[in-house]
Amino acid sequence: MTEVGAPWIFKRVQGRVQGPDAMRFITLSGVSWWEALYEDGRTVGEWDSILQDRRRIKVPRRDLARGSRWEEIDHKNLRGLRLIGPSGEVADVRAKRDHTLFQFKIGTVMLTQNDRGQRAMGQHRQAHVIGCIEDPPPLQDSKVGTCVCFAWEHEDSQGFRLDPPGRMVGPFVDSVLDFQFHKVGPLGLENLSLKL
Amino acid sequence: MADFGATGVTVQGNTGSQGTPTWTAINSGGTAGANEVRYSDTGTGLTATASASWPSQVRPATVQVVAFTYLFTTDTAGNGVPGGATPVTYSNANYNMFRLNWDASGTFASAPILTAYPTTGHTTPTRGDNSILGGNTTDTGATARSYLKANAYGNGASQAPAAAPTNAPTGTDGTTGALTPGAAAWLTNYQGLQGDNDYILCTATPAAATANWWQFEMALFTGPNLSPATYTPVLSMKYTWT
Repeated sequence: MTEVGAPWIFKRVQGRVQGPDAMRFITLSGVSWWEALYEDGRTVGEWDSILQDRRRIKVPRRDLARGSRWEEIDHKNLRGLRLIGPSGEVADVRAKRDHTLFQFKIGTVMLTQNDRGQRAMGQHRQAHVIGCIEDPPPLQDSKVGTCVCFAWEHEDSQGFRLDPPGRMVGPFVDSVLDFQFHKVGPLGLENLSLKL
Repeated sequence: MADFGATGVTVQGNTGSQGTPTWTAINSGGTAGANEVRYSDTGTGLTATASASWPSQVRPATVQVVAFTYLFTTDTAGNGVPGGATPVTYSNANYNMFRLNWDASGTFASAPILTAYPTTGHTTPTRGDNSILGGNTTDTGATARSYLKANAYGNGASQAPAAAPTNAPTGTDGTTGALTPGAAAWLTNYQGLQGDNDYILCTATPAAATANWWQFEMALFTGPNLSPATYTPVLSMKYTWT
């Protein structure tokens, strides 16, 4: 959780990031995005994993965000993962070996029974989590699957929308075998390309 | 593949019979009376009734199941679940009731959760507040459970049950936190759907980018201590995606 000296796209300045035009689009998108760092210094932004008409999009666009493909990026030699909030706040985690970094979003699909217009129905994103499995467990009482995480919360775990809309949470310790944050439960290790 | 598309997750209700199901889908989210599941103690004359005109029900003297379940694809186009045009009284034996469907457009990062929230704000209900999801300590147990109960079958890999859950639902059914069915099994007892307090967690994380369904039964109870109101709880799938 230290400052990353590698060449991320965005430069961190006093806990926030400043960088190329992409940052402006992240702010406009209103949601958080991940950025991955490889051992050789290459970076892949979440927007780089999104295809539109078989072409990669060049900037973070909220309307296309749900099409990102974490599971399809190269997970070999992945050593850093960064979470960039629309406010410009940034958090990052570092890995010593492959298949220990992960990210996922938490949300709901409202299936039936109208709330009579209080709020738009359908899918809602509540939080975006990044993490790294601790390897080996650093403390005697640490268990296999222990991970250190950050999250960008759009809503808190009780469902209350945040004002200002969103906040960075962490670092916090959790477990990929029973993820307690927002009561997610066991993570799908295969789907997340994780190895204990 | 990441999040599901806008129509990637749907609920299907059986508008046929227990023996010969007809799975009718409603899209996620309801507007202006469409895509709703409704309940009534009346089994006739309601399949074309608009949501705003849905009849009220007098609280019974004892806790009991609301007899009829309806699935409305539009505001005035409904069917009994099961039974279609001729709604059938709720019975635990009619286990072909609902399915939660998802297409191949998304990838789960963990097992999906079936629960219900009082509003689309998905704040967790207050246990024992006498509301439909908060429950009442006399009607739905000393640790008040939701009046809305559900039971789910299997691991979300399109497993079809061959028999009903062992135990029919009761008003006090419910367990704090998650209940998880075994693979190819129903929960032993129904779970109250009470936001993030009490919910059903699927057995396993479904396969990536694979269409599947997860079957469940649902029963709404009412009782003498339920606060009179118009309730529009939101049945929800809480989930994670990559």
